[in-house]
Amino acid sequence: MRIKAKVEGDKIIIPNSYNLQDGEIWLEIEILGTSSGEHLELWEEHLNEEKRKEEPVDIDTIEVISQELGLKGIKVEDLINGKL
Amino acid sequence: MANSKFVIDVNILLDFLLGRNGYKEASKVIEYLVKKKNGYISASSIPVIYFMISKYRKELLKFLPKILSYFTIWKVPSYVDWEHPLVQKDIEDYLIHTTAESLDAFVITRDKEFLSLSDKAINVEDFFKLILKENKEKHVPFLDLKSQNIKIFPKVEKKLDRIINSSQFVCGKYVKEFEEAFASYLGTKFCIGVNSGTSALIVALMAVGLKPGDEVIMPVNTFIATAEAVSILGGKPVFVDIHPDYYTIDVNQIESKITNRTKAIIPVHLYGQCADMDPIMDIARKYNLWVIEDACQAHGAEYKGRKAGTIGHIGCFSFYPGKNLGSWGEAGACVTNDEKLADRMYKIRNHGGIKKYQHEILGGNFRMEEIQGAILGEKLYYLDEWNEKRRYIARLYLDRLQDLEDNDLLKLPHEAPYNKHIYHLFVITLKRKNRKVILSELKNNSIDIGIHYPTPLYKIKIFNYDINNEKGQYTIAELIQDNIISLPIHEHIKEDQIILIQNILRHALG
Repeated sequence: MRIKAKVEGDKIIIPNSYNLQDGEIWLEIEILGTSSGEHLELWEEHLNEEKRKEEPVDIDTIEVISQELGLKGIKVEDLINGKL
Repeated sequence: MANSKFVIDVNILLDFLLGRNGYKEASKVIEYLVKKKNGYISASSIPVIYFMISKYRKELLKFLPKILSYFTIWKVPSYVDWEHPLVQKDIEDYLIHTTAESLDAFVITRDKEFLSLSDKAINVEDFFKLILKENKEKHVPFLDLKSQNIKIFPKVEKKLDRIINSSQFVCGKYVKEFEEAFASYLGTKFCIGVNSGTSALIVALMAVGLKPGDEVIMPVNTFIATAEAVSILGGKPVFVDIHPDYYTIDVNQIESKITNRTKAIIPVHLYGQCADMDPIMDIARKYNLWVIEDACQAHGAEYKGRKAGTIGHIGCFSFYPGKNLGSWGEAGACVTNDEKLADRMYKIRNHGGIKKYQHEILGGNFRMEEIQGAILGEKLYYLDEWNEKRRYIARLYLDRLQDLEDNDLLKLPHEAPYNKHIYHLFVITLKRKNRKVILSELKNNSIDIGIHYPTPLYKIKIFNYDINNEKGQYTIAELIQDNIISLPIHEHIKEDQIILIQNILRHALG
């Protein structure tokens, strides 16, 4: 027996008219209307949502500790040019 | 010093790469991880990092492989705990969490939900507090195998997959590749992979035809396996005292131990430097003896430009995990330039025959596992680099402790002029202070040490030596037995740790 389910947004909808038992069925998930590009767009949206809800940090504590450890911060260019 | 590992959450990396809000803290986090080489990125984060860079900083895309090379990309395990609360809430965060779990690492994140649902997640502030605490900790481990093995794991992973898929676990493709690579590295014709250093010695002794009652000459200060291999085959280990400066076999005392039952000499290249091989080979030629080099502590060491293990008739290696070239379990090898000996050893390791069920001579099961061949093949690429690092660390110790030797407080390891020492161990000998006092001082300061070896072999009961009769024969070994200390040495030890050890020793000896 094969069952088709629908994915809508973040939900997988499985028809409930079947009596499913372990080892007896295959579940085939069909993702409708979402290309991989769109998936990444959704992911970006998700990351942005997480960023909006980020935990605030105590800048002063970080400043004191990083000074003690001699951390001044680096730039992306430092990594590209190997200047560390 | 503890050295935690950290997986970086996507948003923090993107703050840095895209210059978003949070850039300042992120750039310091990344500076630390890059400098300490303990930053990891979950393989599951790669697609979104690529996507975001291609969308918002396209000019960086071509540099992304270089930028990511400052981190280790770590696997996402296949074991998924579907009941984990993060799976229900955010599968991407769960994959990062499980990556960290497989590494025993923390995840640095600012995501509130991630922080509340993962015991691996720490926020940026706690990350800084933790690294500050770790920088103040003073523990110096004797070895740091974890760092070494994690470093090579991404390179070995593909091979492990192939081993599982082929399910050929013994003496397959990777053992053969390693045998060829190690033989080429040493400059010898044959390498026979076996399942431990002790097995290598047994196989070598069987290959030269050791019979019960035959005598084999060896140094009195070495690991028990050298003598054990002889005794297992019914032979008799005959011990010789050690050189006062180098602690390898004293070649001037070998001839006096030769009898009509002497079959072989086993010089041990102790602590990482070779015994004086030319006189040993001259004696062997004069008395028609076999020379089996115990190179179990000397992977890549050199004697007059020749690699340890390639000068005698057979060289034996151990790849026990803590060795300069160590496996992920038990492994060893015999090397030789003699085709007949090689043929015998190939057979001996495999129940006496090359082909299945063809048992031409007496052998046993001494075969190397495929996984060890795969690991050793990868680690071999780093052996010279790691040995050089050990030589550098040894130089730091020697420079910083020289005055203590000048003042006759201790004796430092000495590299013989004919040798290239690879410092498997860095062994100092105390000259005045009681070792117990010094050991206690080092222990109290969280410095791990070793003793190699606590008992000269003739005193170990299983070899049936009459201790009273033997007394006085091994003056150097007796002299150092209660005074040697092996200090931590490995490729991950830092200069400030050497300074710390030096200060503790100086204080304790003062």
